[in-house]
Amino acid sequence: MNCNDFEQWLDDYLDRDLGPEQMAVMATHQQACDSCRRRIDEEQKLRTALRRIPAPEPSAAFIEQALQRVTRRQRMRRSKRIGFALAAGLVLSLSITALFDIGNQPAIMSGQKPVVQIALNEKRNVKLVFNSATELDAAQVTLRLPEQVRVAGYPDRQISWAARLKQGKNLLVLPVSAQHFGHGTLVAEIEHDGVKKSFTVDLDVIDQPQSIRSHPGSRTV
Amino acid sequence: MPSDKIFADLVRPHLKSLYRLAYRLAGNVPDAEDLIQDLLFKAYDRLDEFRAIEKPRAWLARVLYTRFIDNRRRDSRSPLFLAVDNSIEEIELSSEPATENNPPETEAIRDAEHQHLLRALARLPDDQRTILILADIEGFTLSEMEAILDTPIGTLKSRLHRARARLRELLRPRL
Repeated sequence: MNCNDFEQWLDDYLDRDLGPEQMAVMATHQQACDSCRRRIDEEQKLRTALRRIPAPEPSAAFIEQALQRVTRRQRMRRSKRIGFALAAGLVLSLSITALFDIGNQPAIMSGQKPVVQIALNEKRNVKLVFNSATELDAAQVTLRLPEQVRVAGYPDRQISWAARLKQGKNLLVLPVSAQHFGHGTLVAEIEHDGVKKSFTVDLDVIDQPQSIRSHPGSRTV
Repeated sequence: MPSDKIFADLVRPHLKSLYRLAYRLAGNVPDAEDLIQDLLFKAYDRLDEFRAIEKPRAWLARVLYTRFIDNRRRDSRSPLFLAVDNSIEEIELSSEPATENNPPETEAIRDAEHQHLLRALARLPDDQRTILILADIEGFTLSEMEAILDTPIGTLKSRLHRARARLRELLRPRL
């Protein structure tokens, strides 16, 4: 055996994936050849280092919660089968937080009826959080924008796509720019398994940015 | 015994190793935990099949890996949606320290050699990185990987050989 052969069979040798005769030939060559012995050492160190790359472990609390969600999901499915309203499987609440950057002074606005104010020609990230009680594997999301605003990168007033909503909070960030003065309503519609829910957000395009004092809130639809 | 208890007893011994695999595939804790949750839902839906198999670890790893690939394909078609975990309000309203359930990944990676390895792994093509994760980091056998990746052993052997050679090339300046 020469060193080129040794290099070629190196992986299989370390994996113990060679016949007994070939394993013996490799072992003999390794003992006689300093350079190949060094190669084996390097490769073994690399494999040891790979095995030792750390990864976090799950906490006991995470494991128990994850298993409990399986149980809860099973119970919800049984409830659906005995005739609860179909909409029980599609429980969405819309918490609106609209974060504004006005001279590095972020403000959050909400109220009885959420209204997002944007100054003309200004660009804002409007964040909508869809809180879903269960995972929705193939939900159809449709946004209908009022004429006053557009979403960056999307010239049309209606944007629709298939999405997967996870159980819990799902963040949708809309980079919105205001193009005309006036009031309008953004409609966000989620459809899944033949059930549709719509949420509205009032938009108000104003002359110039204003500082707005408020508190965070949420509205369940 | 109720089926969810049977399921929990069957899956619990494998959860730590599957969580590690999920983390290595996804690259962060929230996505890894979502993968594990999805895995549990899917595995429970196939409980009869799960109870009958001989190698549960490889079977569960296959379900996990399939879900990881499906998520990546689906998420790449939803450009406006960012799926986040349930701590969204904390992120928006205040700065919370890392909790026990979400240790900062950077604290887990102090060793410069590990960082060097991870950078090299990140530069590999996806299929090579995956097979190195499965074989050389998580210790799955070729036979188990044949089941997980639904790929013949011969193909896996050559892919693993190429992946190891490529990793060695990427690491060479420091060896």
